[in-house]
Amino acid sequence: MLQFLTTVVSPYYLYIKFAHVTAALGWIWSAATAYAYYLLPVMKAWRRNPQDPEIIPVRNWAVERFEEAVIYEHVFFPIVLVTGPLMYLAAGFRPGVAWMDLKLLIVIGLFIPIEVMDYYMSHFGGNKRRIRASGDMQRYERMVHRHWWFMLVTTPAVMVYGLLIVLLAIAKPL
Amino acid sequence: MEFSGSPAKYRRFAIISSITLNGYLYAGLAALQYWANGSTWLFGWKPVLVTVVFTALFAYLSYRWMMRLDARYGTGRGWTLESRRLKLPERALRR
Repeated sequence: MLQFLTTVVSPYYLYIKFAHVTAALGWIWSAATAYAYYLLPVMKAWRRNPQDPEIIPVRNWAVERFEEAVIYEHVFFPIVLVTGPLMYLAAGFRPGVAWMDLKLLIVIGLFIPIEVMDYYMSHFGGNKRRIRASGDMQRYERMVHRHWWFMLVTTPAVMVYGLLIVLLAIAKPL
Repeated sequence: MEFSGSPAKYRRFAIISSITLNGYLYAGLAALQYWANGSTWLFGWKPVLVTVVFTALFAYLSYRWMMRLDARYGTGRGWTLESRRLKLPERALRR
């Protein structure tokens, strides 16, 4: 079966690679500007002045806009997840190639759980715009806090290990 | 409602998550290499030392990073904070 799939997808390796690299870069960078220059200044202002009634609406607006800004990221991610295994098959990879093993461990053990949580926070049960529309402002505030917790604790890992998987894919150092 | 983050929590999270994540990556890679190739180069003291040093460094950097994101460090002098009332555009809710 694997041999059959490898035979089928191998001629398209470079096209799959094009889709994979484009989607991976879009996934990593598409929300970076919105995060660094729109969301963070507002969140820091809120954290410095948590009771300021004029900051809260701006914070809420920025969080809701950021949940829209991550749509590109969340469209690109499934493309990465589909084209990655296709490339793996097309190139005839097998377990034991160290840089690929490490990359897959990072994606499976770190990024898939983070993205599942991010999908939930941004587009499903945690979507702030929908919670606001429901009128449950206590839940809204709780979910903004939870989302901020999520961003605080994932940002270092996303930046370091996100760049590491690009390095592993390009430089193949192991 | 007060945000529940604090330096002690960030430090604890940074240490635990760095140990968990890097321990998982080291153990996973060593197991895969051994299983697929019979390779034992990851069991030597150098890869273990690199993992331990990186784990400590990543924990330290994560803690500093979280503190900075949460406005616990830094002067914020690159931004001003003036009270201003403005109307913000809102996207209509799709039903």
